[in-house]
Amino acid sequence: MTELQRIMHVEDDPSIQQVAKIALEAVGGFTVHTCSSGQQALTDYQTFAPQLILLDVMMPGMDGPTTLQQLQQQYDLSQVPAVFMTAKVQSNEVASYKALGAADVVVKPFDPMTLSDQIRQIWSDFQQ
Amino acid sequence: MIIQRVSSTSNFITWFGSLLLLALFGWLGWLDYQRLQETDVLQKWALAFLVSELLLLLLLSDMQRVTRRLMREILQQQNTVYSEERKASALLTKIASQLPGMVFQFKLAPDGTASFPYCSDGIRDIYHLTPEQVKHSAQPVFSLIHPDDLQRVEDSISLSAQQLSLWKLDYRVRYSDGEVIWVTGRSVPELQSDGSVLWHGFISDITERKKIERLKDEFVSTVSHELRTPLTAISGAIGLLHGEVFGALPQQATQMTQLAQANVLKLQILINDLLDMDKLIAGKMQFDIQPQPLLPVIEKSLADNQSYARQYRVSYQLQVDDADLWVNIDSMRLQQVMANLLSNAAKFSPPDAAVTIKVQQQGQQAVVRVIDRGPGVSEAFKPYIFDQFSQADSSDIKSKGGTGLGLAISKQLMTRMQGEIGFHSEPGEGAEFYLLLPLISTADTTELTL
Repeated sequence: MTELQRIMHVEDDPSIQQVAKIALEAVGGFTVHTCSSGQQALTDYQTFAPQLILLDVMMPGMDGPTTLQQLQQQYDLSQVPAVFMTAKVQSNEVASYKALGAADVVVKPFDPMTLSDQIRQIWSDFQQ
Repeated sequence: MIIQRVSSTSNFITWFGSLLLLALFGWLGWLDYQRLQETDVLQKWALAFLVSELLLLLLLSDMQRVTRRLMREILQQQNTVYSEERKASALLTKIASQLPGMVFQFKLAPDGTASFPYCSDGIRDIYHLTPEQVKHSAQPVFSLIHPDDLQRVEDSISLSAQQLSLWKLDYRVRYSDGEVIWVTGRSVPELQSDGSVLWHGFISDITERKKIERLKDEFVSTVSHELRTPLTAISGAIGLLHGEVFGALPQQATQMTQLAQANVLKLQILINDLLDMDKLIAGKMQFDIQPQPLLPVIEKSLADNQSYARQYRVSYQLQVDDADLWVNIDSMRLQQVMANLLSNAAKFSPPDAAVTIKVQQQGQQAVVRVIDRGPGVSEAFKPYIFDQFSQADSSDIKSKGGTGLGLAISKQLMTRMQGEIGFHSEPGEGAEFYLLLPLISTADTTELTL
């Protein structure tokens, strides 16, 4: 199984960007590339070549689901799981995100100490 | 008319009777005269004729008088009825003109033609039409209903006609200038002897209400997003500090981060509760109701709330009387209800006490009981326990935490799952909260799972 190293985080809020970056880098030991918008994610995807994409659902301009759709159209995401981050969701909403091609959903507010484990679990489930 | 007929009939009887009497007495006089050959006889018969003629005239005039009086009485009565009707109609018009919106009678004939036999002037405000324009055909009204809502309106009318059930609907009206308003209608159908259906009801303008509802929905969703974003950042930042990612903290700093974390959690619960309540009230909460065994859901709830109970040094003791009970529930929602009951029981229990959870069958229902050994529910608070934002003592918010929404939400959730929630409590004797859920037979479940 490939080790997960590079995570692209797409999130418009600078505070959450910082918290997630530290939580994933300092606690989880990953390398995180932060994008402030869906547009930036599309541009940076190729140079960073993430192994996993963490996407905020509600973003001004291009939202998470649209960003994922655009990425899927431009690049081969068959080996790259996408994970949505969103506030408390109803079970049917999780199903609709999965139908859009998301591997899983991380609920906000997340616990920074366990976020990395959660992502690692999603990664290993995806590998199988 | 009738009086004329009576007087002409009596005139006829007068003339005809007089002639008959004249002929009768003439003939009798003639017979007598031939027999006796005396003119005195003729005089006697002439007198008899005059007397009987007089009697006839008297009788007839009396009859006419009685008839006239009768007729007058009938006419008077009719007039009173007419004026009562006129008064009632004037009253209706006056009242209807003061009502917001329009009141109407809507008639659907067996041949499918629709009309508004009565309609208040309010139709001018709602549809920009006059009562006369729709008296014989409802077509002008239907052509103003928003095309996207027309089918819904027609379907609801046919359903109401078929089942003779209350017609109640919110829909849009679009005027020729393109302006759109929201209206709400409500009316009760009655089947008529000719097979037509007649509704009595009203329609009023709710454009303002819809605007406010939309604003409220937007507000709630904005607030939830806007509150959660900083909350995510705060809870993340504190979590990192508390997790000593940046190095060990002095003991007091650890206490402070712990305190901050606990309060962030409270805020999170409050926001979630507010949003849940809002969704429940608006009927927008979606339920994923599936037939399933009850016990695993209860066991999961206990496991999830174990750490919360430990904060209060309270333990949960599960007592299962009937293990194989199947119910129709949304397991997440039932866990939410259980979390409320379990956390309340833990909060109000004395330290080192046990909270007993019983799973039982009672007739056709499954019963879950959560029994604590706390102070119980005071008599004064009992009636309000399931109300929104109710807590037995406002100081509880500080000492026990919680939003006062938990039980209100639980009640709504249980109702939506066809269940019930209730409690028994004697002050000082602890409290027992129970959940009732209709059982489904195993036969049903096999059918459903097949």
